[in-house]
This record gives sequence, structure tokens and C-alpha cells, in this order.
Amino acid sequence: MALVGQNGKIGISMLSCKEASTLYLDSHDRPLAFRERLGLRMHLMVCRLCPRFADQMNLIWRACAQAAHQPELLEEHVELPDEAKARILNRLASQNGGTGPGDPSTGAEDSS
Amino acid sequence: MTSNPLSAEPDNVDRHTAASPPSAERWLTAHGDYLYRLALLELRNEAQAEDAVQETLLAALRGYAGFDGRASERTWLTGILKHKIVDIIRRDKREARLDPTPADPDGSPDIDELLFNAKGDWISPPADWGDPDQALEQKRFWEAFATCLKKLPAEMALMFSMREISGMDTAEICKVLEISATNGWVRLHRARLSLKECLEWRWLGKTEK
Repeated sequence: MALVGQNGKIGISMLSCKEASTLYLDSHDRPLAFRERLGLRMHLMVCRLCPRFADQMNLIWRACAQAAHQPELLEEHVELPDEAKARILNRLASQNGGTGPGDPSTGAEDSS
Repeated sequence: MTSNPLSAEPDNVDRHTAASPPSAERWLTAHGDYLYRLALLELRNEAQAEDAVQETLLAALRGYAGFDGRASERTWLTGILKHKIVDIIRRDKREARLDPTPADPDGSPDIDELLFNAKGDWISPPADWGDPDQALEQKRFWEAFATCLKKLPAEMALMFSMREISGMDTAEICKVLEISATNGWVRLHRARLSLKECLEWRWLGKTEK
């Protein structure tokens, strides 16, 4: 993409949709250079499809942020089985040996 | 920003914090399922997810003195869990159990080629997904999202969940996974596009051309 031609006039070769969408994804991971930002913004102004792509990715990113706090949204039917909880408490009791700071809990293996 | 009616954390979860002593049993009851699901999202392996929870609680018991009570107990445990997950991934990497099939920047069909023509125009144009607030309240959306995430190849899914769900830095992830920055970028790029394309079909059923 060339923004400023040799004669000093501003001339712009548009980004392709593939380039624009890649820049949009990159903007999530690194700060874009000025030229990249400008090119992306101009592309988004004239393109009918890429703004949709941007909205799609924004939704995916929001969903990910939400899932980080509510993993049950994605692992709906998953629970830590009772047997696994009992196993964990047992192993903690033997590993920690009840020496933890103020640690009355580790004898409680047989939770039901 | 989010208008989702489900609150992230019930108010009563931390009511014991001030008074009660650290208790693995209480933590398991209050946060066990939560921690296990988070671990499973990344590790995709039940035994490893169980290990991650166990190691988290062990570290929590030993380090309870360092918990200043400013964050909620759940937030504090989640922070420990993230480190334990990374430890497990590292260990796994060393024992080469992860990635039974090597990452294939050349092998699999390139998602870019499915989405764009040689000029870089969309050949699989993105559809209008409508109101995002509404989407995030749809059971159908979350089901499709979970399905699409599980359909990603293992190494892409790991890259994706470490970056997008766990929120780790890309450079940090590449170090843990012992891959080059370029390889990491390719995996993340493909994971994002594959997930988006999968959602087009699974969630909405692609209609617009």
C-alpha cells in the first residue's frame, strides 16, 4: 500500500479484503503502525463485507472473555466428579501432611 | 459492556473469606467445578484437568499466607490455576505427549484459500451475525461455539484458548509451546478464521452468498 506518491500527492492503493481482515486480527495482538491503521480504516469505510467480519470477530472475542469467567457456558455438562474430589482431598492430605499454615482441612478426605 | 443477565460469580461464594481458615474441601465445593471446567477448556484431558485442580489447591494451601483477600478467593485460585495449566502443558511438551501429529503449516487445507480468492476478495463472504448482545444470550450460540472449539485441531485449539480465553501474551505462549513466533501466528490466525467459519455454518447456517 502506498499512501504518498512521489509527487507528494496522496494516492492510495486499497487493501484487499484478505489484507484488511488479517490486519484486523493483528490489531488484537499488537499495535498497528499508522499506515496500517489508516489503510484498515479506509478499507472498512468502503467495503461491505469486512465490517461484518470485524463484527464477527468482536463477538467471538466477547464470547471468549465471558467464557473465561463462566466456563460452564462452554463446558455445560462437565462437573468435577465426586470421586475425583475425594481423590484430590486424599492426595492433598498425604502431600501436604497437614503442615500447611493453619491447615485443619486436609483430614477431610471423606467428603460425600 | 455485557448485558448478560448471568452474573459471573455468586455473591455468597466468598462470604467465608474473612473468617474461615483455608480449606481444600470448601474450595472444592465452592470452586471445584469452575476450576475443572477452565482447566478442561485448555487441556482437553480429564486426568490432566483433575491434576491441575489438585496442584492449584495444594499451592493455595501452602501459599494461603500470601492471599491478601483483596481479590476474591475465586480470582486468586484462578490465577494459580493458570500457572498450573501452563506447567502441565510444558511438562507434556517435554514428554512429547501433546501434538502427536506435528504442526502442519503446509499439510492441512489452508483456511485462507477457502475464504479468499487469489486477489484477496472474499469467496466465502461473512454473513451478518446480527445483534451481539442477543447472540451472547442464545443457548444455540454457546452450543455452536463449544462444538466449533472442540472441532479445531488440537494444536490450534490450544493456541486459541491460551490466547483468547486465558488471555496470555502471544510471545509467552510460543515460548511455552516451544514454537516460533511465525508458527504461533499462523496457528492463531487459522484458529480464529476456522472458528469463525465454523460458527457461520453451525450457529446460523450460512445463507448469504
